[in-house]
Amino acid sequence: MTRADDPWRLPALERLGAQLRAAERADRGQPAPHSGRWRPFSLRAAPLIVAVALIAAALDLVTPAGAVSPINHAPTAAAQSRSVRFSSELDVTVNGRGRARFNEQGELDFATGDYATTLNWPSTGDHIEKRRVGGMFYGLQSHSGARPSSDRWRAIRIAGRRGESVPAPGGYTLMDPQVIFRVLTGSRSPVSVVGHEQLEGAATTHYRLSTSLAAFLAAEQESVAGVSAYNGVAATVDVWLDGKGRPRRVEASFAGASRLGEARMSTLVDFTDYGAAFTVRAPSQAAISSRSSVFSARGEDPIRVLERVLFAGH
Amino acid sequence: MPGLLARSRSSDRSFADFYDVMAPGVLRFFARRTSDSERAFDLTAETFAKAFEKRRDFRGSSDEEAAAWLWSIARNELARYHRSRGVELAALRRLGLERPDLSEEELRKIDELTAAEDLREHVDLALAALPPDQREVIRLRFVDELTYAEIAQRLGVSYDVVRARASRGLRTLKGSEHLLAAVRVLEI
Repeated sequence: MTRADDPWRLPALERLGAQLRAAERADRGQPAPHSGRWRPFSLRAAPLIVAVALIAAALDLVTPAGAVSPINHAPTAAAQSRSVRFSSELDVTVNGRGRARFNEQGELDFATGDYATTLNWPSTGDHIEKRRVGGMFYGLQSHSGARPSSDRWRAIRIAGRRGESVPAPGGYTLMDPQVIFRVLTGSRSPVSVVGHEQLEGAATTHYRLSTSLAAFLAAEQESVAGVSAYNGVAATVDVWLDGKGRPRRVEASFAGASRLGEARMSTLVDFTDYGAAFTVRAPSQAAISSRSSVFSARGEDPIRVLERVLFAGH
Repeated sequence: MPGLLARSRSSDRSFADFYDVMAPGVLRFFARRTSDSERAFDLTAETFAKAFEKRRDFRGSSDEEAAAWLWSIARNELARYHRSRGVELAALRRLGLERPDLSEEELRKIDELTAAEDLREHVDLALAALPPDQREVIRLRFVDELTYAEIAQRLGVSYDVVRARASRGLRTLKGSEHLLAAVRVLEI
């Protein structure tokens, strides 16, 4: 086997070698090429983040300066309850025809950031379990027909990696409560009161937001390029807050142009059991694969598929 | 003739050439010992960054001495990783170098290469436990894919002897822990 044939000679090694070569030249008094900045691990999830941004950004349309509303305080009120359970649904249509449907159930500890969720893709029977606990992320992707005994969790450390906090592999989705809370906190969009309603036995106030995609993306410029391209997405976001100002339901619908045609998405996230005690447990060591990459061996995260189908090259 | 690293004291290309020769093996070393493709790449990058920083301290002259010197840095990095469960990448930062992002394809490739080597090792261990005559028949039949008649002709023994050796060998392999481990590698 020649050096060039060595299967371990990966392109990434070549890229590192090019930098060392430049450093060696520079050390001899020649200028080194620009070394670039450190790219955080999260950028590997950049395409998904774009999708999330496109979706979540629809939650923010034209931002009158300084318009603080109860919506902005809702995430803080929720966090004071320490924990919450949530269930969510996401539907996608393109040119009026159903394209994808997901649902997710999970629980989140605001204090530690630990969470456990199961994302289901009903049309295929596939599901993804994700857990974050103790600075580790665990993912298990199960496909319909796969023997349960052949499944192994993938584990990856996400706390303290290169000294920075990084998102879970696979990135965020609009159904992620943390994304929803961040958007609600940051929105300065006009808010109107629709009415007062009972929701699952709780008295709530129903608010409606006029939101702007571009405004949201403006806050995410480090992750998403071409903010202006997202101006044309129309969105309606309804939020139900209970007597303590906590979100009980967030429903968003929006429409935008995708490369396949007019795409419409609607999400419905219900928050229940605020303050309920739960413990997110790591999978047993025996159930964890020795492989490090997440969602790579058996297919793709369906949200990634969704992102690619709808927004690649958007 | 001085080795690559020794020449780096006077040449502006030799450390990079030394890296080109050694890097795949170092990545393989870390991948097999960490079972974590990203960490393995981090450790590889940090090892070479440290070697680059210290290259003028290297006092040897041959490529063999340079390799031994590099492996000592790599082993230290691995020990530090096992103690802290993290990779600091301090030398890489001091040099102002960027740790290249690994694509999903590259991550998968490292996983596959690591698994393939694990698999090969387990199979080799399983075969090594067989008596030489059985091992040879098993290899000729299942690696070289010869027929029993061809094996008999090659070894100069009867067809029945070949079948008997293969049968005994396969029976032994069936209970081999190493082979079970190889199957587990294939399953995950």
